[in-house]
Amino acid sequence: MANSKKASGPRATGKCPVFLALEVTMEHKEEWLARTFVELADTLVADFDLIDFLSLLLERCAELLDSAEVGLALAAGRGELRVMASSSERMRALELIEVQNDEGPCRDCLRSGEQVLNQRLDGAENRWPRFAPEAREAGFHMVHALPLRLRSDVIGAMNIFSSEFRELSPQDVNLTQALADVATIGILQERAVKHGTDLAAQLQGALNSRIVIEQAKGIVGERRRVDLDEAFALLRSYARGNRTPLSAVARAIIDHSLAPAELHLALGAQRPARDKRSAS
Amino acid sequence: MSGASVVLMGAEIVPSVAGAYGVSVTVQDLEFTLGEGPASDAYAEGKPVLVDDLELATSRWPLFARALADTGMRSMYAIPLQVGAVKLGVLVLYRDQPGVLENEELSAALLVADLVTNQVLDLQAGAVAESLAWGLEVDDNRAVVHQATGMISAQLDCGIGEALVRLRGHAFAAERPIDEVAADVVTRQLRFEDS
Repeated sequence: MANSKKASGPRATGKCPVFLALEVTMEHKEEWLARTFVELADTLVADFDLIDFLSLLLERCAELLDSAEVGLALAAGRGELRVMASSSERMRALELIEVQNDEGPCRDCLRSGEQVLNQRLDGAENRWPRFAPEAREAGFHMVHALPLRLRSDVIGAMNIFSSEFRELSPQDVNLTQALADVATIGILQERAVKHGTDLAAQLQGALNSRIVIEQAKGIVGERRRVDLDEAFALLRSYARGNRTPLSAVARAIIDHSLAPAELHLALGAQRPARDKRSAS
Repeated sequence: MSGASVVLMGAEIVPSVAGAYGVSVTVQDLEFTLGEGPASDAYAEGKPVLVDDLELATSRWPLFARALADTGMRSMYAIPLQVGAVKLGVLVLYRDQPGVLENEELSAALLVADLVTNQVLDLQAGAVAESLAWGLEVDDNRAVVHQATGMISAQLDCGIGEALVRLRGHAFAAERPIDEVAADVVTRQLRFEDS
């Protein structure tokens, strides 16, 4: 599907060297911020695909908060938490969010509308009897959760898992909350939300789109004999390389109008990150 | 609500009203005869289409809105019956008065839609459960279930809808939770093959 609009910036050439293995130090933060917001704004207007947009936003967030995995969950029709996107497609963070239906930082955040910051997992067994041990077993030491707010409603939460004991600086908290607010805008941007049930209908559509992506990941993972995180990378790379929404690529895989063999990682595209903990 | 109907739809079938309560079948058939309306949009867009007042919807569905007004129905709420790319049809609720659907009502409607979706899938799987509650587990929506569905679709070289039916059928026959069976598929401990 050709698109006549030619985007400026690294995505146009498929090369993103500046974002590969980037460690965001204090001196680089302003530059990183500027690039990140330009990149997000570019995605917000052209060929907008919600899940691609959220994945990108969460990847940048994880970069900002070194040694972190970040996931975003929405409250679905019955109030249960459903993952919309994450900084990495590894199962760990996704599953840890999914277990939080009854208790956990996301659940606390949804209930109170307040940020949950700098919670050490050792010693959190009373607060989160099921979630805390599972998160620790997965190798995480600290969690945070930030609300996705629309006026007085909290529609979801951004969950940050850190494998270090380092607390977030106030600057990092502000930046991350700003990214969460941008995520909320992205989720709602398709049309003006008149009242509560329009929002709920919008969210149902978003949640269903996520399921389509998961189904497509399964097909690609099986056909190409790759891990599901690599399957996601293939889908996304094809979408960006062909200026097509990620959701359209996923649907095409499922209805067989696009073969998994046709997917490839674009030049310079990022392979799924190796486990940062084992590298340090 | 004044009435409800369940419409089954698909790429290769003509939309059929599988059941209607409190409202005649012809009310929903109108939409498909005219080729436009909230249920068709909900099915196509994959999200609920909530029409508080059909009289104000004449620009969006000029023929349908007018035709439905003659039947006395004033508001209509169409909830798609779907699991990702598996699209079964639409649950439609009607009221003979205009009005906003409250959050609690929409939550209830979404719950009923899930229930109907599960029932249709179970029927297709030949899995007639004794309890309606089976298959309404929140864990049905874990990512691993949808990933496994995709993998099964590739393993059996079948459509995604059939893959989901096969997954559910297997879980039912084995008396295991769907997400556990799905985890086995994703970790490649369980493979679906037609003998």
